[in-house]
Amino acid sequence: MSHILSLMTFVPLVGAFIILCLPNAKQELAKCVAACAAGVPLFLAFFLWRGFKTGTAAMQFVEKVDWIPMFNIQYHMAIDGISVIMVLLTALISFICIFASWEINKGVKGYFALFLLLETGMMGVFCAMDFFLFYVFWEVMLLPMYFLIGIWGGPRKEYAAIKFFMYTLVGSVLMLVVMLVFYFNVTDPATGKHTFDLLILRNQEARHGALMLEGVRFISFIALFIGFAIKVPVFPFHTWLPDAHVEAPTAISVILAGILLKMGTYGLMRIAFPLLPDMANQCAVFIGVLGVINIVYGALCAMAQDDLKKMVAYSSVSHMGYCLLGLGAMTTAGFNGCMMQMFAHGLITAMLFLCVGVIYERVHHRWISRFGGLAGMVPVYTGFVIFAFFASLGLPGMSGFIAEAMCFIGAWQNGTPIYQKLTVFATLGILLGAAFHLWALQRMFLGEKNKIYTEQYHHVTEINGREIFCLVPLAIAVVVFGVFPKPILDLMNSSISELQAFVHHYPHP
Amino acid sequence: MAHGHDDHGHGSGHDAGHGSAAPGGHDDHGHGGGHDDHAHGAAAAGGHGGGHETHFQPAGMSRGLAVLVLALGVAGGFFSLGVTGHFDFGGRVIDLNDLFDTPWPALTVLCLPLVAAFVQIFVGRKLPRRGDWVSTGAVMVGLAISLMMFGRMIGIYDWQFQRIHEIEWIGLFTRSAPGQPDVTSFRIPMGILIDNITVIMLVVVTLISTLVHIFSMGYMVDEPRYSRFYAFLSIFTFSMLGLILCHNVFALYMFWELVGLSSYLLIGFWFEKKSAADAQKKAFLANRVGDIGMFLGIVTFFYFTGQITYAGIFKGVAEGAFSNHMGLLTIAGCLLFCGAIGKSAQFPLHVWLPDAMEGPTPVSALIHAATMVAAGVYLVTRMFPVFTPDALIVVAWFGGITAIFAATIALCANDIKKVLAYSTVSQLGYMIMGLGASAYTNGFFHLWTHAFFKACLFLGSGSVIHAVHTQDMREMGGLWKKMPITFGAMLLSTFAIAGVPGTSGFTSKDGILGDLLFAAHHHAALWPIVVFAFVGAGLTAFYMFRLIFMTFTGKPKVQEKFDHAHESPWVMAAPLVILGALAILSDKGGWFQELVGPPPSAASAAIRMDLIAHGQPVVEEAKESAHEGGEHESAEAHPSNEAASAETSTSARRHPYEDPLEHEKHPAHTTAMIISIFVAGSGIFLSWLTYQKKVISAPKIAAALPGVHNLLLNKYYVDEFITYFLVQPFLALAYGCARFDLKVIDFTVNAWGYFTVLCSRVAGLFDQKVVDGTVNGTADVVQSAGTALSRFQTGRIKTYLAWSVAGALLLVGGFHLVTNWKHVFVRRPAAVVEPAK
Repeated sequence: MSHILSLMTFVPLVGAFIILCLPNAKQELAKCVAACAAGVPLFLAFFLWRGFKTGTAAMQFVEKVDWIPMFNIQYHMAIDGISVIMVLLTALISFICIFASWEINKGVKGYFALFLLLETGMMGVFCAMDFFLFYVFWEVMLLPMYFLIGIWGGPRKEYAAIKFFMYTLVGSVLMLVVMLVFYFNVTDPATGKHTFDLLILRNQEARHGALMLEGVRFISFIALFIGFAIKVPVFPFHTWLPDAHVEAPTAISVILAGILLKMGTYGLMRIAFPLLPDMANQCAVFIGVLGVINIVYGALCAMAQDDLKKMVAYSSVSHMGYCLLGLGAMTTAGFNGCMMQMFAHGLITAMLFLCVGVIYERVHHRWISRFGGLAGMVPVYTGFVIFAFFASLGLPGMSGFIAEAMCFIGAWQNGTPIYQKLTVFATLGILLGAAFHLWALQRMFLGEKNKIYTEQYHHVTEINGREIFCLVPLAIAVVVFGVFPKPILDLMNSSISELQAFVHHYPHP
Repeated sequence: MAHGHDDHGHGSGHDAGHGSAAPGGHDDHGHGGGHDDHAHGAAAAGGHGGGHETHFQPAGMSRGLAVLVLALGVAGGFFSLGVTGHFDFGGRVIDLNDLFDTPWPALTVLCLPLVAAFVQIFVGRKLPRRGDWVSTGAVMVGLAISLMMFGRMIGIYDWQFQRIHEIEWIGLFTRSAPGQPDVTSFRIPMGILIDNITVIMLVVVTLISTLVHIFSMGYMVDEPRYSRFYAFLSIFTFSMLGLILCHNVFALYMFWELVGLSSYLLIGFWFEKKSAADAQKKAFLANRVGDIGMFLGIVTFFYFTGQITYAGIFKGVAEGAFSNHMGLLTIAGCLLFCGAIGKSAQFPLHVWLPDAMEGPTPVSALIHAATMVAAGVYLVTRMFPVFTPDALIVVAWFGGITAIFAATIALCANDIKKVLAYSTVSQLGYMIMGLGASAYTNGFFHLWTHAFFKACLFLGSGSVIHAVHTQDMREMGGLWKKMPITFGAMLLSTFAIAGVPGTSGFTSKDGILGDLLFAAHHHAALWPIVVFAFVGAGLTAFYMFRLIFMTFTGKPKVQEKFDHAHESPWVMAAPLVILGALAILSDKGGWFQELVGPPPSAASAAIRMDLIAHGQPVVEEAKESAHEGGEHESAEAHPSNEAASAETSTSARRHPYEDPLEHEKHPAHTTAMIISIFVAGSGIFLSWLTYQKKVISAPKIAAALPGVHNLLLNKYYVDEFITYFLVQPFLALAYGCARFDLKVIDFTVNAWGYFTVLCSRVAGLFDQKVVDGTVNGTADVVQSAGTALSRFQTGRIKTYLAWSVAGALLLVGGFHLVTNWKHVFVRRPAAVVEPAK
């Protein structure tokens, strides 16, 4: 159990190697291997959850080995309350996505090998406590994603893949620069060496040189913020997202929206905020404003879409805005709300993309206006879509509502008038969110069947067992943590209150 | 259905008549218990739910009476069980008081419909009778428990009765500094609050829900999605019960939205119709608009008081949490009221309710007449202490405008359900108006009476629609002969809604009008509301009798439809009978006024204003109880202490609520009564002249006032206004944003991409032609140097040299910049800037 994090991270990688070694004909076997390789982290995640001590902000399950001693780079894996949520989410979503990709029949081996590599990258990012290691995993994740979109994607896959890649790479470069600035200006008080250890990098005592300059810190924060904002994505940097989501195969869209987007906000909470708390405080309002823009603008864009998947993609933009609003609030409720929203949105958006995939697999298009009256034909599928849509529009009793409410309350609790105005504006998002979801629901499922596009209805069949198997665990989690969010909140709360105190009360006594 | 409860009905029916000390609070029930013997013959009729009798039998009226007696007997049994508080079970006496001091009865009432909903969704279709008995049984058990709680309420007879059970739900920690211990800063408990208001609402919801479930067995029996209908009904019942049982505003908001969900699902039950799909979307969105305001109100209260429970908020406000932000308290109250505007269909968000009539008629009766739409009234009642006088004036104005506004529209509506829908909007306006005018008891009282007579009217209209297969009143007429039970029940309810003395509606409406008149004497801003209210009362009488005359009397307009009409089967008629009786009886006994008194106004305590000037009664001794209410929160932790303290303190506080302004209000009530009888009478008379005797010609009046007629026919163009000034602009904005996204932001991104590609092309060209050319050129030069060096001087070397120099300069400059960047970018020397400690 002492290497649980390494196991969770690298078992998928081992699985990927095994898949590559299999003969080409054994496609089913490759899928089974992938399922097992993704199942192990999920299995371990239960133990992780049970073994995780709540009520403390300390790092747990720590693994620390020298990796490149020359530069004092360590293989430092650990989790706290912020990471653990993401690790659990990653394990769950990745496992489900294996089954969501079961119908892939082109380049099966490559697909699943890359997918497992991607999982390794994602797990690594959430567990790494060494900036260099974090960066490595961050890049590891980028590569398979590029190929998964670029090879298995839709008609405009090359464009989408390169756009995704370039955008993320810009973010990586900015992060790399800041990483080096920190490396060269921080020395570990214990050893006197430069270090990449995130826990030491946040130690104000260990800093010297350029980091003492406000300008450097400011530019570093902006660079980090843009780097992570691209991933979130924050308003002007978001246009890679609709393209990438729309072109990617279903499971990859799920991963993108369910986990990769959270890396942006996770990065802010793990790196940008604790490393540069003073700048985070100064930029908080700015982050909140961007959050509100995301919420409203994303919802408006979603309303205008005729492509269901694009609508869902823009709804992600809107929902990640709640995270930013919560982060910008600089209050415990806001930070917890942000984290909760990351978790809830991961579940809900996964459901949404899976639902989109179900209909796309049958009729091979996603134009909302070409559907109509599906509810009478496929009641079970309609039930799942209604569930997912209502979860997404923040119906109480579902986890999304708790998160949104906490973000709003957190923002309001900041106490300054600007935040109250922001909250008022942001609530427009819950109206618009309801509007575009219900409108799409009506156009696709309610009313009469479409009179022009009648041919498609021959292909519409009820949701099958495999798809239900993918959706049900998510639905259960959405409801359980919506009705009783305490288990999740308890996991994160201590670490988040520590972070909030560290950032908000900077400089500390 | 009723078999299971018969024993109780017989066994303890007599207790209800003699066993309680309550002063006349439940005459009807006692009466029912006394006449149990007659009920035997009707047991089968009331009991075998799904029977589909299509012919009206001559014995109908006596069977109607028998149903009534049976129902009242059973109800009286449970009621008396609650009053006496113990249950003699073959010598073993089971004390129910202890049980009813725990949260379990209330939780059972709450959760059974949820369980039923799950059963219906997953296996409903496979069950016998497609599972309708699951949902119906669940809510019937709820009704039985609610009746026991109701009896207990009458038995205790304490207007301040209150029990709170709560658990920790969300508790977030904050640290004052890193490494410091956690402090709970953000606490949202979940819990159940049981007081008189809750119990009254429980009875309303479970009773009407039960009757609607039974009615639907006849009305919806031909539906292919029958079991899903019951599933949705159960979801609704669960949400509505949650809404009234919860003890904090956060849970209130959650259930508030969940009833919105069930309303959405049920309005769109026939989703194949575009109008139904439009209506359900409209209902949800209109409610969301109100909910946003409500949510912000909740957040404001939470922020200022740090509390989320009703008691906590009242206490916080009373202790001056808003003392520096008095205006904000008014605004917060108004924001909270936004929720009521949406849910209770007040102007201008009322537009969803008439459209919601696309749903099945039982749904209209349950959700869109009796219970859910009354949630807004419940909200204002519940949060009444935090409304400042200014906020109350706003509330009163919204209610008053809605009351008259909807009544005028109802004058011209020809769809029987639309008439009832606008009448619901109007009546909700009366309740809201009453609460705004500080008629706390009577405003809430109107909710209670209205629930019964309006549910009866809707179910009656459902019965009519079932019979004639049309909703257009112009195609009806003369139906009373064919449907005497429906006609009788609807007539009684029409008397009630029109305000005929002796009916329940008269008492409650007159109470509102009297309090309003009294309040207006003290607050001039309410005078226009008074006018609206009385004119609206006349209009109500007019349009409701118009409905009766057009539907039931006169000659049949479409003979074919008339010929096929028939009285509805007993599963549909029995609920009508019961509700018709309640339309007359539900106000009797005076217990309501004595058990529901206005709570001490926390807002007034904070503002320290003489609220009597605004017609707001201030009860001195009640202020103390605000603190005691807070202590009750620990009921879960110390049940024994709590029970003991309740025991000792109830004896001291076991008195009914007495309005301290009773005597001052008296003249106002007398005046109001005279005026309201007059306006109701003239409304009925005019209606009779117009639609029965045809002395006055409605088309001629319409022709004389074409503008007004058009305005009313088009419902004041509110829908159009919202479409053109809100929906369309938002849609345009959405499309604008999408275009902006594509044409500006994405264009910029792509332009950057192209620019980069272009740059790389140029660089590539440069590399190929210039750099590589130079290299090649050098090679050439070297090659040719040996042969023609002395006489061959070309620009190539010069170019090479020039580039070398430029490159070197660039390198040096860049190096300088990198090494001395501090001086270049940051003017201050490094040593001066120390991180602030």
